[in-house]
Amino acid sequence: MINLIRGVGAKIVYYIDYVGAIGKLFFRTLYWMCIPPFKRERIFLQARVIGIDSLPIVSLVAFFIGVILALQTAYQMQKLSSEIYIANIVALSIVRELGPVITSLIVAGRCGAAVTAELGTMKVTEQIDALETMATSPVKYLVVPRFLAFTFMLPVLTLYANIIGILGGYLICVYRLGIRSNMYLNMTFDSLKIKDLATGLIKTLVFGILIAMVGCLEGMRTEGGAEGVGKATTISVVTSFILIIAADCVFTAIFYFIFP
Amino acid sequence: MIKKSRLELAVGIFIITGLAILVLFVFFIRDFQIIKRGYKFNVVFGFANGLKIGAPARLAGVDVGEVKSLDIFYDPDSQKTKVRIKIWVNEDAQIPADSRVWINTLGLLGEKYLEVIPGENYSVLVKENDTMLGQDPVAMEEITEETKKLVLKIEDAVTGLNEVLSQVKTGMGTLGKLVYDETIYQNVEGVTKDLKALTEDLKSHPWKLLFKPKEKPVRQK
Amino acid sequence: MIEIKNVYKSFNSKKVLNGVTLSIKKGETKVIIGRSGCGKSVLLKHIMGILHPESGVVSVEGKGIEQMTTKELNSLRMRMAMVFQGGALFDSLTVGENVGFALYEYSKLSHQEIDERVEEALCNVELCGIHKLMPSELSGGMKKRVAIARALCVKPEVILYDEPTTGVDPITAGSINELIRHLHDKFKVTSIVVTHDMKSAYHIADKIAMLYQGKIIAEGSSQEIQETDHPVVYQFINGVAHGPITETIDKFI
Repeated sequence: MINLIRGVGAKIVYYIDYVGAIGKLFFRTLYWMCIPPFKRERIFLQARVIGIDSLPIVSLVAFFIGVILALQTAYQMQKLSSEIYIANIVALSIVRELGPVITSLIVAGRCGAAVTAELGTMKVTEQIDALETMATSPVKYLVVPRFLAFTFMLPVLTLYANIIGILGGYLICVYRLGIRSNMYLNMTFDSLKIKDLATGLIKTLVFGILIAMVGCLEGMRTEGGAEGVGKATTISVVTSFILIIAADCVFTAIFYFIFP
Repeated sequence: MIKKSRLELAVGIFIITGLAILVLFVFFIRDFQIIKRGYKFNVVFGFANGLKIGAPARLAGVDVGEVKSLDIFYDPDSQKTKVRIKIWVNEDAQIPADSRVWINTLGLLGEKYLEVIPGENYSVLVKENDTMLGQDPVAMEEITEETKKLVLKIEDAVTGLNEVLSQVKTGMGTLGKLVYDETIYQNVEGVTKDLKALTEDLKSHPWKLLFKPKEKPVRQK
Repeated sequence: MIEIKNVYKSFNSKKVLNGVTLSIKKGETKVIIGRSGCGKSVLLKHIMGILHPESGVVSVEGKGIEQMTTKELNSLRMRMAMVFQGGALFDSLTVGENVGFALYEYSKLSHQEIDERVEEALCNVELCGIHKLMPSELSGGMKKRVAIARALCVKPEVILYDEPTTGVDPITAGSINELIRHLHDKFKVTSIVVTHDMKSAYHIADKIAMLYQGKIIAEGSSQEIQETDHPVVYQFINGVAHGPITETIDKFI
């Protein structure tokens, strides 16, 4: 019993510690972001790795999500013979929820893990210490470009995912279910509001920050060689997935209750 | 150097395409009425029937604007609480001042919206900040009340009718006798038979109309 | 020049440094010997200010590292350089970018001047013309020498070497020893070398200090250390399998 309480207590302390560590890293990142010298090419390099290189897989998944959503909705809507509302459901689900979340999850799995593995390897081979001995803050050199790239590439990727997901639903509805093209597009854009698009994009900003922070933090505190890098990568992906879903839940609740 | 500028170019194209998608979305989502030009005017109702901010306003059945605000105020003239509804409509919507405005329901249980049926006098149009009087919708309670009264009346009528019918059934009264007394029928039948015989007789002996036949039963015997 | 006084440090309740006191004079080559995992690298990282002591003072030129502002610490680090055990070259950068890293980051020199400095540093370690290779294309010995070139490139006053001869063939080890010696004679750099390779230690050291159980237990010139009568030092420098060091470990087990 005492052991159980001790275990639970240790876990709670661990998580509070974790939140503290992420917060500290976040503020250090913000601090170092404002300190010269500014090296643009590092940010551009990360922007390419995180943004452009993720585009094919994000597009593919977004397209399939659009198709699946249209078909699943059609299954129910055909019973009510109101297929035209598929357009609304596909557009709203993708723009409000699935676009941002799916994109974030893909980027967390693809790039968050890569960041942790890279930084973790640098940590265990003392490259991070070497950076410090050369009067370079690892936060400035490694974390800031990744932080900026994640934060600003994720909304851009989400925009791509939105349009491609809607295209997926469009193709199914127009060429398979025989809804007229103009009708579908009208229903899509009538059902959407600027608010829907904006909330989706604001969410991804936060998701980007979360992925960057978790990925970098896990990487920078990796210990114990190749095994440690593997462990850190796993923890990084799992933690960012959980945080993304949890943050999404909080956001959805906030947007629902405060800005209905 | 070439490598670096190509990297920046690729990232630039990526971001600009993203922004283009954003602009496309914003352009197609026709939600930004702040940018569109239009005017606002007020309609005063005694009863708003659950109309909400953002409900559409329709002129001759076309969406031209929306409800911007609802204020409850006390009107000292009529000594009643009234509702002032501020409506935004876009510039092209010309609403004559004698238009009829009321709150309508979309479908059976659907959303409430503002119905504007244009009047005839197009020389006087509604302008910015004008106030119109709306036709009050009938409150649900009133409808039920009226219906109840109607039902009661119908009930009265039906009881009266029932009485009549039961009297008819038992053969009382003139109508009862008419319907149920068989003697009349038999009499009428007898008369009809006689009449038939008479007409046949007349057909075969038309002269009987002119001459009174002698009462001598010569031939019959 | 560098003073270490009563430094304590522990990781997860394991005491690594247990009151280390050591001083290094300007222009001197100090070799710190000790068994693997006895805290030699940790000591070096304290001198660079990467790790912070739990108690005690590490001071450079009379100023405690803990009391320095970030700016002071950075300017100090520009005058010191550390050669890591595995080289710690940045995998994503070429050899040239690795060697010139600090200059590309902070100096106001033009790219051409930096390239010249890089080439000069690489030639000093006898690796002229490899600046376009990636670290993954180098052998272990070359990596170590590139790491030394990286340290040299900023023209430091102090160079800290973390096991420079470990894991390389004897000939490369010999050339690295020559190099350390040469740098000491030519540029008058202060060197702190951590090693457990006694041959190398005798070759390069002005002074040798032995770190054992978190303390400096003996200090002296190569000659003095070789003629020691301290049983622990004797066992270590002669590589005897049985002695006071292994006995205490046996006791622990």
